[in-house]
Amino acid sequence: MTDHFEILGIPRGFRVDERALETRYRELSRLFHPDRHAGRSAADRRAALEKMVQINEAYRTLREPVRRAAYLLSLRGLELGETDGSKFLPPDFLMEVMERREAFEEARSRGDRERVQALAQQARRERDEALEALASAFDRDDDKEAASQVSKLRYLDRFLADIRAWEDRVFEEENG
Amino acid sequence: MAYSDKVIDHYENPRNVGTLDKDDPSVGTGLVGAPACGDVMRLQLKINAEGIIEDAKFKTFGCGSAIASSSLVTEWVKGKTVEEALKISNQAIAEELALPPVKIHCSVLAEDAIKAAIADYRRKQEQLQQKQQGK
Repeated sequence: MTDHFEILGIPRGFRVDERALETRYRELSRLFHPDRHAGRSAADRRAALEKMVQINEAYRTLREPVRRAAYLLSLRGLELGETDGSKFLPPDFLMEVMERREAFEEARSRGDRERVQALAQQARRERDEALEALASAFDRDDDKEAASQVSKLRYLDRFLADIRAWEDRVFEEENG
Repeated sequence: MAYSDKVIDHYENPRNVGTLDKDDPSVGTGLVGAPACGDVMRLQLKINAEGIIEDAKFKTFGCGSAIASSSLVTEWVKGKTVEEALKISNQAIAEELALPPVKIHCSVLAEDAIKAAIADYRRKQEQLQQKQQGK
């Protein structure tokens, strides 16, 4: 089976040229767009559609660094499952997650937006650091470290998404 | 995806949310997580000298199924011996809450939390005994 990197014709690796990725995606999308195949046989139209689905899936996976990293690890036989991924986490990390969550919950219940923003800022800073660490782990072929950073990033992304959801709700309540 | 009535009940009225003193030697703390969905679960058990679980508290940040699984577990373990609590399986939790296949990992997390809390309790007790023997 061809992998996502092959489908988009870009070198396999964590560090990708994002502009090249975008360009390749656009070219291929034009090439296999259903409109271009409208006059062809049913089999041809079907083949083009299947190709388009593959292209979209490949782009969706590779465009986003955390997804790209998890996908690369799975190609190397390291599946980050639903629960067993926690074995790749540094021991104190879950404690940090818990404390971060509790701090957010507490600030939220007080309606302390400044505190929430500070927590978000901190999380974004750690996210940037984790992305750097992830890239250099791949440079060293250190899959375990890469897996650990992916898990961390998933926690941080989830946390930031929850903060955004809360901020949107507050905004709606005030302006809705 | 629809949640079962039992999941909704535990989610809306979670039992035994809170904390126990993690430095108390009779309290075991289990901290587990599911990075794929960003869930984190803390389960604390207070175990008496007879090895019976007297109290249980949890705190879970995650989806409804993760919260319901940990809430249910705190109800189940109270009054049980450590050995009985260790026999609680994720299948039993998933069945009780009628969890769909995609949420089975939440029940696995709850089972892991029991095991982690008891392991922590045993570690503390061992340390305590070593200290007492050392005196």
